[in-house]
This record gives sequence, C-alpha cells and structure tokens, in this order.
Amino acid sequence: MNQLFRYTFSYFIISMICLLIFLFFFPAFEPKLIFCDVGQGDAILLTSGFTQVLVDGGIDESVLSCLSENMSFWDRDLEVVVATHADGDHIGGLVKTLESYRVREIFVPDHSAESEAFYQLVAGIKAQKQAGAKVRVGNYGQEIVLSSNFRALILHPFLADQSKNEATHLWESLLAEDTLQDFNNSQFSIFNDQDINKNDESIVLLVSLGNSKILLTGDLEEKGEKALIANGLTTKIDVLKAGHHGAKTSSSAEFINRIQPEKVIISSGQNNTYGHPHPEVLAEFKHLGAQVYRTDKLGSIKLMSEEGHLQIK
Amino acid sequence: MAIISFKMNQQLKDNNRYLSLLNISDVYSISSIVKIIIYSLLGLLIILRVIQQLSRSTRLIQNETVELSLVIGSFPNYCYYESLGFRYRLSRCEHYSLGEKLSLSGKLDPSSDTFFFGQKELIIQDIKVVNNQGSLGQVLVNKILKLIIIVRSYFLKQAKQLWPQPHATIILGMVYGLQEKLPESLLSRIKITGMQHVVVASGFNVSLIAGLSLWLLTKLKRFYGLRFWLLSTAIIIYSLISGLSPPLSRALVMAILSLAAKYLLFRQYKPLWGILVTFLFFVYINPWYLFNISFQLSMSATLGVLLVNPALSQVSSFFLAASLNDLSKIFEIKSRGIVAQLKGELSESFLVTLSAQAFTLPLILHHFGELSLISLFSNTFLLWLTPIITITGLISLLIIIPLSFFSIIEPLISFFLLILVWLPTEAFIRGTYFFSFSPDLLIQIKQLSWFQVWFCWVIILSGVSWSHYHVKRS
Repeated sequence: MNQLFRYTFSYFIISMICLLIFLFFFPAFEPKLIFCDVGQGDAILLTSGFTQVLVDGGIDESVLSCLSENMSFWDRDLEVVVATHADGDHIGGLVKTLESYRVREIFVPDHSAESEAFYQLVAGIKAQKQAGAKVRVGNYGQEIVLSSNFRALILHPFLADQSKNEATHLWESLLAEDTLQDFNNSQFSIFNDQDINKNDESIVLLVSLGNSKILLTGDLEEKGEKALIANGLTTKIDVLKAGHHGAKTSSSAEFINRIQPEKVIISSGQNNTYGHPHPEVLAEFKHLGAQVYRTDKLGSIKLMSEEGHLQIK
Repeated sequence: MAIISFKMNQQLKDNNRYLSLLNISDVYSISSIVKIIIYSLLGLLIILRVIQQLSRSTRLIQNETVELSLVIGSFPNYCYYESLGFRYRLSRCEHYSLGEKLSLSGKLDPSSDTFFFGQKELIIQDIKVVNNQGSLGQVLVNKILKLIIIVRSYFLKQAKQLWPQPHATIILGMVYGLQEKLPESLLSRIKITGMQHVVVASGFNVSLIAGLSLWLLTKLKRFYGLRFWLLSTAIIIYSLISGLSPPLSRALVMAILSLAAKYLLFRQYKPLWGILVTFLFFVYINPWYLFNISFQLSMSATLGVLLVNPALSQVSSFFLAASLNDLSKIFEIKSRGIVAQLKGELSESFLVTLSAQAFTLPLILHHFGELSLISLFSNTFLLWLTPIITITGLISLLIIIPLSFFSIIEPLISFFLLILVWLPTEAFIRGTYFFSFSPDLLIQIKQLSWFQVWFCWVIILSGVSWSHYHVKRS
C-alpha cells in the first residue's frame, strides 16, 4: 500500500512539474510577425498561438535560433513554409528547417535553380512529402489563414493556366522517386532556367493583421513590381518588407508611391558585401516619410498589433 | 538462506577461478628480454608504417597521382568529401550514397598544405565505386558498414526533429558526437567558457554504453568470454553509429583493452599502459591521427586525468582534511547528506577539470592561442549536467526512435521525454550564458611552439612527481 502511495505521489509530482513547465512556456496567442535576424537573407515568421508560418529561411541555420526563441520548445510543427524563390539566401536555412521541424504545407516557387542549396531543398521537401506534407506551387489567390484576423494572401506570381501546369509538372518531376538520382548523374542538366530572373518570380504575400496590411515581397525587382501594378494588385499598405534586401533594383519609385508604406523593414546582413540597403533606396523611403527598420542594426524585429495599431519591437 | 549461501559459494568459486587464472598467467609471463624484443619489433613496425605514409605524402608533394580509398560516412557535401588528413575535391560534383566505398586517384591541389602530415586537398581525377569488390570478407564488412551508416543517418534524421535548436545540436553532440554547427552566439559563449569539449562524444559515452550493456548482461556472470564479446560488440556498434570521431575511437580502443584485461586475460588493467598501446595502435593505423587536434586533445586530457588527478586528489585531501578538521573543531560542523555529496561532487569535478586542463592547456595555446579565464569555474559548475543530458538523451532516443519507426509515438510519452532532456540542456545553455558574461574572459595570447608545449608538460610532470613524493612522506 505504501509503495502504491509512493508511486502515485511520484506520478503526481512529475505530472505537476510537467504541467508547470507547460504553462510557463505556453505560447502567447497574440498574432505577430518576426523578421528574423539571419544575416544577409530573409526569414519571416508569422505566429499566432500554435500556428506558425515561415516565409523563407535565410542562408544558414541561424533561422533555427529564431524559431526556438519564438515557439514553444515542444512545438515541433510548422504549419506552412513558403520558399519565395530559389536563391540561397532565402532557401539555405529552409533546408535546416525541414530537417528539424515537421511541416504540413510547403509553398514553392515556379522555378528551379542550379545550386546545392536547391538540391538539398528538393531532398528536404521530398522527405516532408513522404511524411505527409502537401506541396503547392505559389500562385495568385492562394490564402494562408492563421486565425480569423491574421491571413496571408499570395499576390504574385500570376500564373496563367499553362505556366501553372508547367510549374506543377516541374515539381512533380523533381519530387518523383528517381529524379534525384538523375539530378546527381546529369550534373543539374534537367534544369534549364537560364532565361528566368528568379527574383521577379518571387512569391509575394499580402499579410492582413487586424486592420493593418503588410507586404512581403521576397526579392521582387522592378519588372515584378510593374507586373503587380499592371494586375491592379497594389494598394496602400502599412508595412513593407523591402524587396531584395533594399537593393537598387527593387523598390522602384512608381511602386513605392503606389503602396505608400508607413514603415519599411529591411532584412540585410551587417557589413554585407552587396552594399544592401542601397543609399538611393533609403533616400527614397526617407523622401516618402516612411520609418525604416533594419535587421542589421536592430537584430530581429517584431511586429504586432496592439489595440488596432501596429507596434514594432 | 540456502539460496544465499549457494550464491556466496558460487561467488567464492568465481573468485578462486579468477585468482587461479591470474596465477597461471603470472607463471607463464614472458621474460623481460623477450618483452624488450617484442616492444622493439612493435616500435620498428610503427616506424616503418610512418615511413610508408611519409612516402605517400612525398609522392603527393612531388605532384604524382596517388590512389586512396574512402567510405562515405556522413551526409555528403557533394562536391567535397573528407577523411582524416584529406579533403577530396571532385572534378565533377557527384553524390554518392551513405556507406559506399570509393576508390579515388588524384593529385595534390597546388595551394594545399605541403607539410608531410598536414591536411591535404586533393583534386580527384578518377572515382570508382568498389562496394562489391575484394574478398567475401571485405564485401561483407562493406555491407555491414553501409547498414550501420544508414541506421546512423536515420537516427540523426529522427532525432533532429525531437528537440528545438540549439538543444538538439548539443544533445546529439553529447550522445552521438554529431558535429553540427551551433548558432554563432552560443558557440562564442561556449568558447568563452571553455566548454567545447562537452559537445563531443568521448570516453564517457563508451563507458555509459558498456555500463548499460553490463547491466543487461548481469545474468551472464560466469561467461567471461561471452561477456567480453557482447560488450565489445555493443561499444563498437555504438562507436560506428556515432561516426568514429578520433576521441571516440581512442575511448573505444582503451575500453576494449580494459575489457580484454578483465574478462579474457584476467589481469589488472593498467590505464597508462592502455593509453600507450592505444596511441601506438592509432599511429600504426593512420599516422595522420598524430596531427589531428581532437585526437591530441583527447589523448592529453586522458593522460592528464590519469597522471595529475591522483596527485591533485592526494594534495587536496591532505589540505582539505586539515582545514576541515580545524573548521569542525571551531564551529562543530559535520557535513552530512546532500550537502556533503554536493561538496564531494563539486570538488571531484574541479580536480578532474584541473587535471585534464593541465595537459590540454599547452596544446590549446599551441593550436588556438586562446585562454579562457573562467573555464575552470564553468567546467566545475556545469560539467555535472553532461552525464544527465547524455543519459536522458540516449534513453529518449532509444525509446522514441523505434516507436517513430512504427508511427506509434504516444504524445504524452514524447512530451515527458522531451522535458526530461530539455530541462538539463536548457540549464546548460543558461549556465554557459551566465559564465560567459564578458568577452574579455577569453584572451588571445601568442601561440606556443611545440618546444614550449613539451616544456610545460615536463614541468607539470615534475610537479606531479614532487607532490606525490611529498604527500607520501607526510
């Protein structure tokens, strides 16, 4: 009887400790966007309670620290991962993320790349697909719903039926059983993407957080921005994640004047060799009266809605 | 009662068998002259082996094409493959599967290190997969190796999804010796606290596996030979799954020697002889080990613990006993229970750290020119977490991974196991941040030359001998 009591008491104590730890690390339910400081690259986490969406993963494993800091330690699931385009500074960290988290849904760009990072990303997506993840090619009109007042709508690319079929076919063949072997042996010859400017094919997300609008443009450049204007998809927004880390090739005057952002976030690395963000782009934002926040100066930047107003921390 | 007396008789019989075997082995011990001849021959063999390796290096330096073999043992970077002493750069990026055995021929990259045993980068001109070539034994060994490497990769893949980062990297480093990159911020903190050695699998892991296996084999009390083979197989499989890093290989050989002494030869195991034989074994297998920093640090730390720790313990217990006697006389204090145990653990941890650092510090100063001012304290206060993380991590992996294979993980069990390992790892990370409060605690100094390193070791050994002599006299 005494032994039974001792076991019951031990079980009770252990359960209480687990419960206390669970409560202590219980996630905050307020929705927020975190622009992770991943050096020269993009990684944006959208989180609301137990639901997380990761848009790009930076160049290396730095994104994992950001995820650990902003997610409960027992939460090993990412509901959605978006690879805006196939550049190494956007997908390098996604490779590590796919190794460390279970992912339910993956949005991929409509192109491929001749790089080791892309090869590893395909291998990672293939493993996640085998574990039950859904893979979709990002296209205008698809919506990711985190909660009733926190959504992300894909604005770009605007794939016509034929190009959508081609992109779907590309990913089906990439994720097919024996394609990776062909890929190894053919030294990337299955890809023929010489003519594509991957940056202009970036998946662009319009995030609605309460009444506020936040535009995540990946590495979208002037041509892509013009496509957004031409398709009538530009509207006044509250926060802009500057395209291509504030490079001169993005954030054209026409586009900026259309969307009139109040705040601009630039995700770039300290003392990066590309000279991002470009002084002319910074001057443009200053001229517009937008406040600029940079991850190379401030580290990770948190954006949340407090009493209907966007707050940056 | 009868059962107890029967058990005691059995134990006495076992002991007598052990003693009689000990006497037999003593009777048949080889004479000292034969010993000298055998040692000289062994020495000659090793020198010949080193000369053979030197000739390969010389041929490389003279720009000749050399042939080498390689087994793909870790997730590859498909343009480069690495093995001890060599980095192979493929002329065409190709991916080979885990466990595949390759035969390579190539030339030295002109910009490579031209020191005989330096890390060399080779430009590979020809690659052949030789999995199913050679004798039946070789093919079988290749297949077993391939299977073990595939199991390892499956374990690592599953384990990475169990814990968040950087916890997963630390746990997998401690349990499997997985050398994944830690976040830069934590890595710099670990450097400041001088705790890098913690995040690798080493002697402790091997003894842990041996201990667990021994516990499982308690029924085989009398089958000494069988015990030896089963324990050796367990630690060999663990070491292979863990990737056979130089520190782990060192620990594996020392453990097999110790088990052989205990269960096969029934002789007393002398650790100093063990470490010497291990050293010679590795120099024979591959002289590149001599120039591998992990191997050097692992050897010197073990040597430090073996040589310096007994002397330090004697000195400290001598002074500690005197001071405690005085204190207890003044305050009439008697340390008991948890406090005494904690004090014992901390003082042991402090002395082991000091002993290991006495021998490794000159090497660290030679290779890196960095000195952590807080390392002694951080190691003393955080080292006790290492066995907890390793044991709980290993148990969690052994429970969760087979369950995940059959997709029957019980969320509550996995949550409990997650907390069990996460808590001490979190404490370790927070402790590391606490002790690395200032970057100035890691100072850069001029790198020592090999002559200076040896000079330091001679001084330390003289000090050890002197203290040993004086404590004995006192």
